[in-house]
Amino acid sequence: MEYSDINKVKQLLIKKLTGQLSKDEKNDLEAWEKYSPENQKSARKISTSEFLERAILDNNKNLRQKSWNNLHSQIKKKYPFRSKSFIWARIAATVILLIGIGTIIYFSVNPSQNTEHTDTYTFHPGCKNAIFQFSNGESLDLKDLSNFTIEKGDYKLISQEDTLYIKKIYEEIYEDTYNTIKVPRGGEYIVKLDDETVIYLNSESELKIPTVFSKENRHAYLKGEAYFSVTHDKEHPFIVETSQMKIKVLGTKFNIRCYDNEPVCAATLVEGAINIEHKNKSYKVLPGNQICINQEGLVSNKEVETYLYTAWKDGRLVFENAPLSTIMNELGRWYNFDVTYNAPDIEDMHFTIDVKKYGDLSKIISLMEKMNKVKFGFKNQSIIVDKK
Amino acid sequence: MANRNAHIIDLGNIHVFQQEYEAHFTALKHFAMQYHPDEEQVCDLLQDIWMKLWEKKETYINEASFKTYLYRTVRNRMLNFIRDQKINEERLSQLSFEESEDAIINKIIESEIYALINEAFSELPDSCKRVYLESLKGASQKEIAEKLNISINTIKKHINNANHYLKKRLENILSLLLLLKGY
Repeated sequence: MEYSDINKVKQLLIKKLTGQLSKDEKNDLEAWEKYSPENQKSARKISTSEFLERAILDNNKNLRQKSWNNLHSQIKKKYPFRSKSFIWARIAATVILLIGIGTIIYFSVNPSQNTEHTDTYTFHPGCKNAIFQFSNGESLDLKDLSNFTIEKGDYKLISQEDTLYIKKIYEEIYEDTYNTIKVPRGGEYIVKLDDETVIYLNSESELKIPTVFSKENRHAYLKGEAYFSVTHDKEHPFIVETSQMKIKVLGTKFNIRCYDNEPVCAATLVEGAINIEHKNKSYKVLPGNQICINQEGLVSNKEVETYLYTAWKDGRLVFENAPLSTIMNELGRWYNFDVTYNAPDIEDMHFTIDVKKYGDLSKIISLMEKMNKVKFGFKNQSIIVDKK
Repeated sequence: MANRNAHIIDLGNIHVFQQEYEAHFTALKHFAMQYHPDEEQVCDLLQDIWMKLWEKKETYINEASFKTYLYRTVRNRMLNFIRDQKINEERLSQLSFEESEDAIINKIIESEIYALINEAFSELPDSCKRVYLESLKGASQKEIAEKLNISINTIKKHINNANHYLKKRLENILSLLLLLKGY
């Protein structure tokens, strides 16, 4: 037999197992079986319960993931120069070195310059980063990937211009499986679903969505913060669930912030209409309003400047008269650092800030030092806040 | 996708490499275990083979030529391993001298069907797999209920779910196989 026949035989054997053989195909398969005792043995073997039992129960997905991780780390150890991220790290190191030399020259030429911040620290801003976890447990690191297409049976992932499109290939399919997109600290990600709904995910957030987003199942689960721009569909509401609330949407733009380690869960409506469900009660939110649910389960509604709550998706860090604790938590999430406060009451100092979020942290820090009686120290991956 | 035969596989690209690794993992494992049944050992040997593939960074003009090379390499590696370990000389002579080309191809077919079945079921929960398996073996719902200690209703639900899901999965697999005619 030729290699070219393998696929034909595989197809016939699978059809036999599922009882889908046509009469002609049945004849073809019988001819193949009769061709040699080996063939007959194979055909018989495939339909034995031992073979099926092993094939069905063999838990390969974990083993495969584990083996790949092993192999991958072996590759990285042996060939570090081949790795794309390594090259980027080298370029970044060179750039930092050049900036460093520039800074030294600058300060030696301008000795009168305030040199309060010559402590060496680097807190890089976050970047486009996420882990895509498939419903079968496999996961894909999206950090260094751009412009790719991956086919996953029923759907495909296409990355284009900073957005990940999840497109379905087949119409009706099994609905009870979910993929998860996990954005770590210091990361952000944009996902576009098959119905053209766009979701911006902020740092330290997790979005669970059906493997295939169909009209009948527009249901997502969120931990953390996300901005949704949902495509209008009167008949099929889009539902977002968080630990505190369930948001029913017909087509609209809104922001949800529901971090497990924060006391309040907030939904801010930019335009359109949403309904919040909490403990069997439903609350309608009007555009320009925000509904908050605190840990005690108290629901409140207020009119807000929505820009304050959505500016993060447009690349800005915005705080209006916000306590230092809130600001430092948010900065820590984006620049990936921890905070310790060295003086009492300091967390309650208030600041108003509106800056680009892709810049260096030191600019924001020195801005805050100028604004209020506060100073910042640096140690490893953490920032120590003290009174001036 | 219609012309996957012209699909070029560049193993020097880490993403392509990973895709190929994952696509062939289950079938290669099953294939290699026909020669030596120790799963852990087999995984180690396969790891070596893939490491060498990465070092070579070769490009294959299509899936068929790559697979031909892959299975042949795995078979040779397994035979060498058995020889070096002197695990079973009788078995070695039987395998290396008497195994015909057709027998090897049949092993490949079996392994790939094994992987297809495994993949088709991979997203179903374990309880559902077990129920489905019992029913495949011809057990009645009452027998399954007694054996697995669950209600008939749960069994019906599992079988329905599995049927619905598998039908779709297998249809996809079959249509994919049709497109891959050239192999």
